[in-house]
Amino acid sequence: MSGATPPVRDEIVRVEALAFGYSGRDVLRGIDFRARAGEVIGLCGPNGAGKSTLLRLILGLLSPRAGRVVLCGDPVAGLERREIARRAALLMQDGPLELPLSAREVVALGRLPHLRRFEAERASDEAAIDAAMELTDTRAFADRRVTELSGGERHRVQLARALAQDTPLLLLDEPTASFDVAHQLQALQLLRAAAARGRAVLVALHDLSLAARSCDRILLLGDGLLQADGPPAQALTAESLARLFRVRARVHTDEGGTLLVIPLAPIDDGGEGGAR
Amino acid sequence: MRGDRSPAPPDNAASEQGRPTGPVVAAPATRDAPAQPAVVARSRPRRSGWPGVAALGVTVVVALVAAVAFGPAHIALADVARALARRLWRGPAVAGAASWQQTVVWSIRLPRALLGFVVGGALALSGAALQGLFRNPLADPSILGVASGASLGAVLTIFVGLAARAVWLLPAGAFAGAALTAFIVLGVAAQRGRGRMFTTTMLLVGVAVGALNVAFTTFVLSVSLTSYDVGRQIIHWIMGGLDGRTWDHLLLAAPAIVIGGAAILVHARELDALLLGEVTAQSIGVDVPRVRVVLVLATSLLIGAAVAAAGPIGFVGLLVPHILRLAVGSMHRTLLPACFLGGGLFVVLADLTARTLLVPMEIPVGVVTAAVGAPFFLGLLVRRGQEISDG
Repeated sequence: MSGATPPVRDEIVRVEALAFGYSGRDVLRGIDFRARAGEVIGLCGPNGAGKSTLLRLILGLLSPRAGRVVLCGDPVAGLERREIARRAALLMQDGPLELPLSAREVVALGRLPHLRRFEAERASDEAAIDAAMELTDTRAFADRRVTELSGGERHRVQLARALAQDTPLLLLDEPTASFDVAHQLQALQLLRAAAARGRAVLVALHDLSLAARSCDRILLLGDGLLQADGPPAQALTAESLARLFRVRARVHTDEGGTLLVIPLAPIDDGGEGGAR
Repeated sequence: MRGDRSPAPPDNAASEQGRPTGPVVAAPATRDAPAQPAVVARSRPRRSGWPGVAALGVTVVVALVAAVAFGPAHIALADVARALARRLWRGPAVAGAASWQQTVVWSIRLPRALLGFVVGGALALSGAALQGLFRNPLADPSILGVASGASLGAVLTIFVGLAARAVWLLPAGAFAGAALTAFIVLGVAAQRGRGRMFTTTMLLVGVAVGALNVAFTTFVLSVSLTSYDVGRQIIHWIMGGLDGRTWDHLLLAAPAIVIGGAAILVHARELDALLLGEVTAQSIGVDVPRVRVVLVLATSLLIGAAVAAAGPIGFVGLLVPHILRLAVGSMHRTLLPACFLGGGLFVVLADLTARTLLVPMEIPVGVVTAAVGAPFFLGLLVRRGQEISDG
């Protein structure tokens, strides 16, 4: 209804002046950004910067102290869980280890928001499940119990589950941490492809080079604030890394135009760090 | 029915033999060729649990017939059939089906068997629901204190004289005690875990609240012993069992069990989703707080009805879902119906044993369920110990 800021075309999510705190301590404040269809946005920042919190706020799993999230045109606070689940999918950092389901059964759960109560999966659901498993390279162990899989395989199954949900917005918290190099690249290619099909992807990443290489934009979180929002080369600079991560780093663009972020050493500041 | 599971990968060679009821876990098939997935013709043991459910249903019918046919008084099968036919279809008064046989079959054994069935079903179903809700195979009405809460509620209604006023007040008291306990356990566990359920916390809270319930129950009992009548009534009730249960008991318990059971069955998908963890379940559209309240109320209704009808019967809610998960898989759409049938079957057979083992003495059915269940469960734990680690 109310629209303080006019919606941009293709806008999928808009975060306005968002603030959140646990018992008086602010974790995030004054967060403002938008994500449009076709964008892959990297969410970077030191541990405890509030990346996971921001993802949960966008899904309406936490209530902001101030500000709001607008998802596909509607404020999240006013949407039912099921409706939110049709608009945004979440891949968490760590799922439960004890999952007595088969890989395919887990992926099939991604179709839950699209099914009515007693409805069996339709052919289109089966197709979405198969496609997601194909993309994530998980079909080979479709019928194995998830408990029998390795950490990386298990995480790929969860990624397939999020893809099968088939939502305009994909939220991913460290999706590649447990992947081998090939599957890291594959996962990010897959997110790129999803964006090309009109999704928006917001992905929290610790690997800054990977973020720089595969994201259109980087949101840099630190000290509860949005410190930077722009193309990788603008957001990830030696200066910003020193200030937020307290590391000395070389940021370097190679001849192919790829941005490489190489952390060299932690900054050992006895007194003033210069960053306030 | 869901017969149309069409888009199966074309590796069905072995899948026909992949019997879903086989107790052996899927593991062996996976060891063969991890590197070359194309070659592995895997059986699909978890694809569907419905054949297992159907087999259970047939077994239940056989067990019910056995429960009606066998007992201290010998009645030939043909006479059992005649007695039943006469009541059900007003058949001709056949010579041979004496009226005492009719009474034993129709008024004593049949209601008792059916009550045992619904009580066992209720216990196992609520066990499965609580295990799904808490994401822990150890969650069980008795371990979480819910059953002792029901006992306390029931004993209190006897003590203050309410139970004598109307027949439905004792089950209502049991339900109130069960629901109150469940919400206290849930509330304290959620509080400590900052909204997330931690296994150990939840179990500890359940044990503590259960101990409190038992203490209060014992206190009420000790106070009531001054009045011979009330004390005897309470002790008799605490002993539990299906002895002397009639159609009235069944008619009182069945509606609550049907309502509570339906509420749980309807949430099968949500329970599946909860296996992924609370946050992920919410992210795929499950309103976790609402589902939690509905499921806790529904299990309380089941436990309240079961405990009111037959007293505390242990181990059904823990043992039956555990076994059936191995047999039909963990998807709740098959697991839950299987648990209802399996729990009913277990209690009917246990009661049959209780009645016929030491004739003319009768053992309380709870003694049999625990005596059979506990060693069996210990065996399972030893064999599959690593599965029940703290998640």
